[in-house]
Amino acid sequence: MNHLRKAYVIGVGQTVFGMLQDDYHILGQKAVREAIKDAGIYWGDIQSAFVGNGTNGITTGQRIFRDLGMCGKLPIINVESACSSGAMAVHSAYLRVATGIDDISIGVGSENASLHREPGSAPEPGRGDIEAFIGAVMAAKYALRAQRYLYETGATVEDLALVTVKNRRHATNNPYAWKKGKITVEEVLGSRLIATPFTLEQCCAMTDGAGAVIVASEKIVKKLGISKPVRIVASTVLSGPFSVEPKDETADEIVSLGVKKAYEEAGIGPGDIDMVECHDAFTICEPLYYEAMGFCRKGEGIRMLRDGETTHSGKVVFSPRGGMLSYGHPMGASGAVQIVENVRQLRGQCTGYQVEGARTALSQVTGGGVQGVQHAACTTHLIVADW
Amino acid sequence: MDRTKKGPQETATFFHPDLLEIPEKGPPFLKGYRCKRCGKIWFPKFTPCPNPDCWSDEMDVIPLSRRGKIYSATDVFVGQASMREYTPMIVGYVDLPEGIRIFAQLDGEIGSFRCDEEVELTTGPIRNDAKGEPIFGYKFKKIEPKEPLE
Repeated sequence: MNHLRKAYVIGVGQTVFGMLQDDYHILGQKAVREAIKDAGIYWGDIQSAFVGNGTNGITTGQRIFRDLGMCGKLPIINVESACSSGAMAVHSAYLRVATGIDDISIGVGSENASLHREPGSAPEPGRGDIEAFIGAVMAAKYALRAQRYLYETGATVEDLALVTVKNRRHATNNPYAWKKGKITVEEVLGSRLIATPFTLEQCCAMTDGAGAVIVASEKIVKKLGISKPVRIVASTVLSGPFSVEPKDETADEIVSLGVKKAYEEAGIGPGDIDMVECHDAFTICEPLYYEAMGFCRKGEGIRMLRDGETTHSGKVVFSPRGGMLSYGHPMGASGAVQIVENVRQLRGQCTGYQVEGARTALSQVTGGGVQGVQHAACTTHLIVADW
Repeated sequence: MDRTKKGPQETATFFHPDLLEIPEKGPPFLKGYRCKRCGKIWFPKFTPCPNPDCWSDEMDVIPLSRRGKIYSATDVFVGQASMREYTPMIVGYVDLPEGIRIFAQLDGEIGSFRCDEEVELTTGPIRNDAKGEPIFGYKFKKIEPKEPLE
């Protein structure tokens, strides 16, 4: 990637997450304003904007920036790939800077699901998908992966519950997280059944929130005199390999490929990563991704979890913000807010849930899932403390 | 795509005639699509062949095996908003010998299906149409023993 310029994150903003009365555009505006303030720039310095949203309709980006008076002042491009939308918006802003088109670009992820959704129902894959027609919901598709994983490895549902216990504990002091603090394995398993082996507390909620990430060139970092610049060393987007044949659902091809590509772009490996925010939409995701990202061998994910290797003082801290199991998962927002939190961690701003000495952070978020494609998309970012 | 068809259930709506055949005589079967150019077998029907080096429009219809093996199964208690009458619902991936994986509802008792168990094709209501009438489609069920169990 030598032909690309260095790209940095100079400002981040996020809302508190949860079931919120503010619609997506208000949430997006809050995150954008916080990011601009954090960067210490003038709004007019931003040369392009990318906005990720999953379900709130069309021209969502223009709606967010219109009310800030910025519509008409810069190109606004809306980005949609279900749960990967927010991360793809940041990826797009990164490309705009890395390729030299802009010196400052912003990636935003925003969603309000709760105001627009029927309570007590589960989200399904895209309309027109044959599996969705038959009754597939995302919880069921991940439950099928979990059932097979438990069958093949001998892990138990109690093991899976440990992911929720860990992530809620991580989020205890995170003011932006929604569900946080102490929860026991018994409480996780005692919540109502969603799809075996998942109980409610093993599934991320469809919450609301927003995150914004301002990407800038080295020239801007120097001009602003930023003493602790966070550099994006890899930003990858993959589309999901398609096959109607049987595939190993305890593996995750697109995540393995996307993360491997990110490692190659950055010239580092899993041993160099201090912390990860992953797509922990359901408990099973964490052990699957420990394995798919190369932090352990296949089938060893649960052992890593049991041995405390993925919490503070372990090998690599997974979901220090509390992950989606604490924030909930507003489709368009999650991918952006993962990066917001990773930046704050590298800057040492996460009082009460700081990963000590973190200098390299990975974020990964998949998107969608239609018949024959495990995930429609996977976006991965690697950022480093560049000082 | 929906149509009304005479079948074992008298007059029933089938959601996709390209996928499921219910003959006048004999058991129902799923329709596989074998590309005439590259030979790859697909389910459901794709036009053209999704092999990007092929993209042929010509497919042979082949009956797929009625039996397969459960790769994984789950009991779903919270489903789509429009499918409340159908929950709890059992769904699973069924692998057919032709090398095709089918996502389907499973007919049977909650908690009774296991990975690697053999199942066979059946039909039944899978969801309601816009008028609230059941739509019939393919499902899988446990294999009934030929001889009564002693």
